[in-house]
Amino acid sequence: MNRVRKIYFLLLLVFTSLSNLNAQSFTISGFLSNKETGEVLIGAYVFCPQTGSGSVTNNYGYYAISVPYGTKNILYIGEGYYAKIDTMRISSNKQADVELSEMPDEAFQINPFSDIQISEETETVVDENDSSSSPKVTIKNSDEVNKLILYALQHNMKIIDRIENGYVEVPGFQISQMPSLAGEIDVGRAIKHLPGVMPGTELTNGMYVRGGSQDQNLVLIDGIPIYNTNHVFGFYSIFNSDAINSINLSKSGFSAKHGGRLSAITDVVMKEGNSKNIHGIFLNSLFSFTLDLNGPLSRDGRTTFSVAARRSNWDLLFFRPISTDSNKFTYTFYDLNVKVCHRINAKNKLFFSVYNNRDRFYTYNKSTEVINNIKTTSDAEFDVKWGNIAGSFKWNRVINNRLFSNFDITYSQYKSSIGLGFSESVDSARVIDFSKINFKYFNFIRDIQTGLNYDYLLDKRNTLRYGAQFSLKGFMPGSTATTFNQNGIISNDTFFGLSKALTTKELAIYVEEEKKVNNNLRLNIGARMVNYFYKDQTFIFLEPRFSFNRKFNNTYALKGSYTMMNQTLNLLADNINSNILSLNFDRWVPSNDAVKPQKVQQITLGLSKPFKDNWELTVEGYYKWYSRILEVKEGADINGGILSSNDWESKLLTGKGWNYGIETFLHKRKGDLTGWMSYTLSWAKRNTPTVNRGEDYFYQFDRRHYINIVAQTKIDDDYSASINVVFSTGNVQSVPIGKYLDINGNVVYDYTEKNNYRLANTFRIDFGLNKIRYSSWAAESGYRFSIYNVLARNNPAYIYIDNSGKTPKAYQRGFLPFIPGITYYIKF
Amino acid sequence: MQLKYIIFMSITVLALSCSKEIDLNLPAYNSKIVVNGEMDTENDISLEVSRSIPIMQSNDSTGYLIKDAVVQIFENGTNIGTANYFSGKYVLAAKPKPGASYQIKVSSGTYTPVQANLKIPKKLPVVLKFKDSIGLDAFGFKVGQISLSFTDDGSVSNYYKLLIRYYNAGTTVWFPFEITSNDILFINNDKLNDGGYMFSDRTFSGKTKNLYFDVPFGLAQGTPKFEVSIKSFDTDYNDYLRAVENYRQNGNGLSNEPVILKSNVTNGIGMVGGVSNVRDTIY
Repeated sequence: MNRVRKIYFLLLLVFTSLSNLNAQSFTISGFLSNKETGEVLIGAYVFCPQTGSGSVTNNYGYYAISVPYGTKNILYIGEGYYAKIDTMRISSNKQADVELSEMPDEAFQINPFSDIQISEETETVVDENDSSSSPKVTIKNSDEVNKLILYALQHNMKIIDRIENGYVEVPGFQISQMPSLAGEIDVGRAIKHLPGVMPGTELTNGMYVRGGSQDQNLVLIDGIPIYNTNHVFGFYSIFNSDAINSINLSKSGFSAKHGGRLSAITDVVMKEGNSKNIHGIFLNSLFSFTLDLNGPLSRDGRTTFSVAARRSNWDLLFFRPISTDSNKFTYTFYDLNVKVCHRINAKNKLFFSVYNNRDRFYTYNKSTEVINNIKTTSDAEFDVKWGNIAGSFKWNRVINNRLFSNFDITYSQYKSSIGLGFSESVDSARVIDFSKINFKYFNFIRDIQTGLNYDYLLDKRNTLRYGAQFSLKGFMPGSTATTFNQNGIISNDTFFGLSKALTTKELAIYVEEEKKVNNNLRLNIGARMVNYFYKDQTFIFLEPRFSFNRKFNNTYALKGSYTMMNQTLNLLADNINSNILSLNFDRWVPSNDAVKPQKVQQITLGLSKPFKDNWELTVEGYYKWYSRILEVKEGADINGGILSSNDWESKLLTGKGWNYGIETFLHKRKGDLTGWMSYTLSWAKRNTPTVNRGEDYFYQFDRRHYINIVAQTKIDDDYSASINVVFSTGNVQSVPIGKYLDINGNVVYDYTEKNNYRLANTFRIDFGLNKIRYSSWAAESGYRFSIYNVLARNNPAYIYIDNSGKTPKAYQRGFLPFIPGITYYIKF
Repeated sequence: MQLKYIIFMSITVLALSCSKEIDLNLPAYNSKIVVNGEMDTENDISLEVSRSIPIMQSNDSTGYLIKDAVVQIFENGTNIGTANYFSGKYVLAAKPKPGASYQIKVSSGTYTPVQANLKIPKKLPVVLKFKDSIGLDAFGFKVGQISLSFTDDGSVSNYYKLLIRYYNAGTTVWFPFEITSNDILFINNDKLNDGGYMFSDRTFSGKTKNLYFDVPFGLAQGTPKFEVSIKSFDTDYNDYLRAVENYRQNGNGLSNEPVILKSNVTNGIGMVGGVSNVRDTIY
């Protein structure tokens, strides 16, 4: 333990010494929010043109920027909002909470900043009527500063000011306009149109970031880790897009605040709720109803709520009417988001969130027959359920102008169960003989976390972020209970698997410093230390993090990063059921001495450049190398067998891996035509002792080329159209290409090597048409028509060879090739 | 049950999916000579020579066996003869020698000639004993004991296969002896299909290993008679045998990771294992 204490102390010493206090600067800080709804603005940009320093609001809409003494402009820019310029005389620290007004019809506005008055002379004027502004102050700017203001208003400078690498702010509005699967707007599916984020098999909801597996992605909803993100066997994600405020995706350059997963962090923040009026939206798609309501709970708007509920409708419309007492078949799903926020005062805010989702597949069959006056009744029941239940409490506190803190407690559970029941009753005039057999299988993961995080603006050049997090997890990889009941006497009551969950503890501390070396160079140096405990085993990781941003004339930026990540939990996934069919076999297991924590390091180098009219270009290369990555042993069926929960360790191996590639992302956020084009060139290789004779092989989702085009345009005031074009190199799969006799004279397959066959390319075009109506009784209503896979192309999921007949045959399995959809919605 | 669920769900999902027969654009596959066999110091050299065929080739083709191959055996670089085809095997009336190196060269028609190189491990010093009584069991019957002692060669990694059989005089058939032992070798390794166990020398490298197996009363009719065979071989052959066993047990189903068999046949496929076998019968 002395060694651990020394490392902690050393870390603090290093980061404290990096700080360089400067008494001449003052802090402008506060919250940015939507003027009409009061909803906080996440990822909004705050910029001081005189100093060239910028800041981005955090997940709570909070910003802090250090500005030297004097009169300065502060620009507030939020995507989809009119920008605002404050001119203020800065002689002390100041809290400036700012509201921005929504731009109507923002995606199609040619000049979103036309309302901003920028003097062509040298004077910037502040709106006197705006209460949030400072008293009227004028400033004479140099031409250079005025040009910079204009430039900042016309270009998305945030992308060159942010130090984060591999970071994508998922464009929420554009996603809502994209063609969707069966009319169901699916954020999870839309994310996979971004560079470096590859889907699993066509139609399912697997997500593979830069060659990493599914369990390497951390999904946070309001800071709560969610362990399964699929509805309907992966056809939909669980994200209810109407309840979401923002989604950010990190693929590299991870903040030291985050850890525990190797490939990506999807950070979803739910809406806090409208603080002025109650608003809502109702949607009805082919498969579900959605109702989203949000508004104030108190007259002063200090307490707000947001409730979003979605439920499948097909069971009500189709399954229930055809079900009878003796034959039932149903599939239902729902999700529910509830969030309540209470602003105690200007410096303290509380958040309560609850999230719950569930899928259920149920069949019941009863039959009766009478032979020789003996009546036999038998029934069979099959019941599958899975879902998450999660909640969080958070407390934000602005301790002073420089120090922001967040304390949180979260709980998350994912559980799935399979129930099977058979019963038979034989009724002969004198005796009733009854027997019933029940099987119940279940698995779960539970996670309780608490954390205390600080953002400390040390001075105009240094921001320190630090905190501590503790997690207690319980893993139940699988247990099965069977009972046999004969005439009321339970003669067999057997339990297979674990009787008690496997528990782990994890304590992490982190510290990182964002240092502005000069106006053009920023560094982020950090480290995360993790202590992981499982039974009597202890693992200690020190994960260094580093990233830099070098700006060139405020026109483009070169960014790079190095990160090390360790992962102490693993998802047992096989190739077909988990990765291709996305069946809910998600069984999480802890790392231990036998299956050591997975580890990856990643370096990136990229370039970001904003263009006029809100075009943006990002190019990023990456190289990831895994020192330990999970692999399933040859021949092992990780999900097979009722008792497999006990011997999962014996089916796993750890190997090495190398993923590398380059991603290009050209994005247009506003205008008549919006959308993006992305191209990813990538490789993902593995090497695991005893697998593939110890030679290198491609990862199952290695894809050389991945191209996405997402475009939306307004046809007229009522109609807009959208299109997605997706091209991807096929996955690889192990396919035998020969056959021969083994030493025992049995025919065996000659694969030549693992994952030796590349499936055909995937190509898909989706089309969408949106119609908007405005009426007196609703703020807005409309229809969204969509056709998924317009070309009806049978994109391959996998191939298999039937070698049982006289002549072997090869089959390619694909999924539904053509799916139309329609959604009706009303906003009120 | 979980398996049933997998099947049920798979059927449901697949029912919604499309399947079509396709012409697989597989890489060109050239049939290769396949050589398999175990060069066992207790038996004459006997090898099987066959050919591999493309996966899509009809299953009722002319068969896999090659009957006109030329199979030459070299011992420590000297040609010791050509094996002749007899009843599915190429046989040479010579027993492999412990510690010797062998090269097998096989050619046939237009197939690319192949060769396999292997070394027979040194002879294993084994001490084998049987006691017909070491005490009484819970019912008062005599319990016998087989004791086996052998010394591992610490200079190389060795793998072993132990098979014990008992003779049933009534049926005049040899049956696998059911090993009951708390030794780590039998806890960490699964029983093979033939009743034997494979294990490595990892826990006793370079040392003498002593094993004791209790023999329950009445196992064999008449005088107890046991055949103990302990084979030692190298890593390649061990990996191959384990993979074959894995293939046999798990098959290559869609949800399984494929089993890729190791080969030591250059330009071809297959495995010729070098085995130093000590086999003895005890009473």
